[in-house]
Amino acid sequence: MALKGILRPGFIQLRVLDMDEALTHYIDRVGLNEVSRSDDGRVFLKGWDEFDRHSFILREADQAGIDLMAFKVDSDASLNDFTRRLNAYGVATDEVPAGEQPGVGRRIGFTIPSGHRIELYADIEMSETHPAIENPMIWPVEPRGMKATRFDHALLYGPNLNEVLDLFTNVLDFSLAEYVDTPDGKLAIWLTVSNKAHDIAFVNHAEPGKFHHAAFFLESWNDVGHAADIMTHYNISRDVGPTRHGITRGQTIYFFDPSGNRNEVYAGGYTYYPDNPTRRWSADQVGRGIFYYEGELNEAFLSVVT
Amino acid sequence: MMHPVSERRPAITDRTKLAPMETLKKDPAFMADAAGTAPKTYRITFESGDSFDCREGEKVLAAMERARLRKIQVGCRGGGCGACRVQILQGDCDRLRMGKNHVDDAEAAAGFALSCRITPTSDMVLRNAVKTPVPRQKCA
Ligand code: FES
Ligand SMILES: [Fe+2]
Repeated sequence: MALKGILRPGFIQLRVLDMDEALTHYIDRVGLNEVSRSDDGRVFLKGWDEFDRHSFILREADQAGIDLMAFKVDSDASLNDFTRRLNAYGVATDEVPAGEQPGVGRRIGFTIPSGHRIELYADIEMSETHPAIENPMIWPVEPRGMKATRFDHALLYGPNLNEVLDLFTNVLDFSLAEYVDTPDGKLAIWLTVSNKAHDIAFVNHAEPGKFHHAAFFLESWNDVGHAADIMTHYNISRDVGPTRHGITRGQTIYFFDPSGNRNEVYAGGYTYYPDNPTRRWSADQVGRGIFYYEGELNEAFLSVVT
Repeated sequence: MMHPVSERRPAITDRTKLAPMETLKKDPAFMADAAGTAPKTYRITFESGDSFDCREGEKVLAAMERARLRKIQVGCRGGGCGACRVQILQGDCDRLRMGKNHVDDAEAAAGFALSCRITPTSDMVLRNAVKTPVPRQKCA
């Protein structure tokens, strides 16, 4: 095993204005499965191809956006190690006790310089409907809607991009896969802690703690087309696509949940290895980097966030 | 031959079976079309004079997009991003939930709204009230 320390994005928690509308969207259209509901109203969901108990959490609130994003680490020893490194770096951490989320062990939480809450955890129960292990069928139950296989990554907007980059690369052991350079400095960064082209990304933005999108992984470009058919049939608010990103090379659609949180369905993307060089995009080519076929950003990419 | 079929299946929600007909039945424009009657419409006018028709039950922003007008910025269409913020100068509407970070209770009482989350119950006069400026990028 060469993947050590932080393994992958584990879960994300988003705020929605109306839980019923949100569940129709995420369960019936996107195709996530409902796992459980807690007494405080949170709803726990997962993609069909994920082993862990849940990966996507919704909370009803009076404004949309992100509460937190959490990464799974390989062991409790690693959790202690990252806590020590964060504290030594000057980042205050807090501990959320085991069981605060059903089936999840203790979590270490902290606020990063962009204003977002990030958490780390080592233990989570295996899903009751996990992919089969013994002579496995492809899926336990046929996928529904857009057939989201898993929660894949998120793009967050906030200030202090250089500080965020330093924290993620020097303390949390991420690599910078790609970035957008401008004469005034970095505009955006794509960070990976795995073999994926990105696990989390940031765009520099004046207002802290903002949310651009959460992405669900699909198996193929054909499935991206099928997702587009579903969006059209059910009149789901679409932002851009189907198209492709030059950055990460993923095939994509940006669309919105009923509370205005942007979602992405994403297929492909290149395989990243930690010895790969960092790819650089200049400001004049950023349009092709974000939307490869269109060659330019739409008005909403830089301004529409929750 | 035996297949290892899982005993435990995720609950398929009842909503799956209801869609899409039940969703469409809640849409007055669809029901009017199905009945062969003209859908009831309200006239939405901007201060500047541009105007468009909005069907009963239709969101104001959606009607503006259908009319191919660009008097308000179209963002998420879900009450989350604030791009479509307006001030209602005249007329009445029903409101769906919208982000309080964009329209708080006092602002709602003063006639502010997110146009993607309101449906008219009378003719209306609106003014674009997006909180300006949209935060521009500052690079690190
Ligand atoms: S378009 Fe985003 S709040 Fe209306
Ligand atoms: Fe993405």
